[in-house]
Amino acid sequence: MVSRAKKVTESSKAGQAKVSSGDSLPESVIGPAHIMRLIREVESLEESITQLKLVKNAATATDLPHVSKMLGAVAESKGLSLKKYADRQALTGFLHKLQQSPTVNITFATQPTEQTLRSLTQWFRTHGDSHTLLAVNLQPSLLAGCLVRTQNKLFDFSAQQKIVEKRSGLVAQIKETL
Amino acid sequence: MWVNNWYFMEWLLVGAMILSSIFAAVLLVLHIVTTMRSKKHANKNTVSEQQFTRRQQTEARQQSQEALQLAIKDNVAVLQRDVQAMSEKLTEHMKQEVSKTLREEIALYKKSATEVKAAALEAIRESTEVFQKQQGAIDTAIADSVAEEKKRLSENLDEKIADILQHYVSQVLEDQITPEDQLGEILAQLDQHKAAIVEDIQRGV
Repeated sequence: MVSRAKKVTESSKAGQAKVSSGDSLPESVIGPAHIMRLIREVESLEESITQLKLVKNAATATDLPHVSKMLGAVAESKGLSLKKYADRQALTGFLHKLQQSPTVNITFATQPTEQTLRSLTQWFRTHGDSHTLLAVNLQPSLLAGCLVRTQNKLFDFSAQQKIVEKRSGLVAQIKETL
Repeated sequence: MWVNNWYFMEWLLVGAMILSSIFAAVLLVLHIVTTMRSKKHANKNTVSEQQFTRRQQTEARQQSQEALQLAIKDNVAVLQRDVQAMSEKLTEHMKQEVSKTLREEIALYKKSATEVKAAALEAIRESTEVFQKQQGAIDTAIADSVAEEKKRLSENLDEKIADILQHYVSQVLEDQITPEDQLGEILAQLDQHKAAIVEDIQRGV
């Protein structure tokens, strides 16, 4: 068990060395929840492969269990093969490293579509960091627009904020009418 | 002797008595005749006297009646004059008294009316002053209350207008404005704040 842990650690280090920090993430990987899901999937995959090895005593390509498109895309984008133990460890290390990536919390009034989130993620990864993650929240009181919170700053692009900003003018108009 | 005397005396007494009775009877008859004659004569005189007296009495009565009537008339006239004079004087006196009393009463009434009028005017003036003061106080209180309510409403409006409008817009729009519809606007705003966003992201890295 200890030897396996060491092996995983070494493999992770090797994977981290193999995965360059400048590589971009697939558009389908958007937020920390996806990263967590990918980590769990890789671990599950590792477990499955280990069990298959024990049963069939062989780790061939044909024995690889089904993996999600997201995991496949991430592995492909990093040039890693899920069939190889070292690559899987490298992918695991990469995913753990991604958990430390800058995360932008973005809040909408309604649930955005996957495409919208991909477009926004693309913008942050193009202009900010290539591994930027988006944590999506919902707040119906925003009405429209969104609320963007980075590590230290808050950018309110919501309709609620616009109403508050223009409240004095609105009140003045109402008072003039009254 | 003595007996003969007695007899004699007796006879004498009887004879005397008879004689006296006869005399008395004669006297009585004479008297009656005389009386009857005198009565007859007297009756004749009495009738004439009575007739005379009746005429006189009648005349006297008439005269006395006339005199009495005249006297009564005179007295009545005098009494009438007196009564009339007295009545006129009494009427005049009553008029004067009544006029005097009326004047006094009217004067008193005027005085009382003037006093009552003055008291009423004073009461009205005081009531008006009190009413004006109270009205002023009420006006001030109402104005203050209205101003306070306006201020409260204005402040409340200032505070709540954004929430009200937001609630109204959210109910009107509901899910009609989706993030997809807003994507271009969101990207434009991100571009507008790109420098600050990118700086903060890269600082986190």
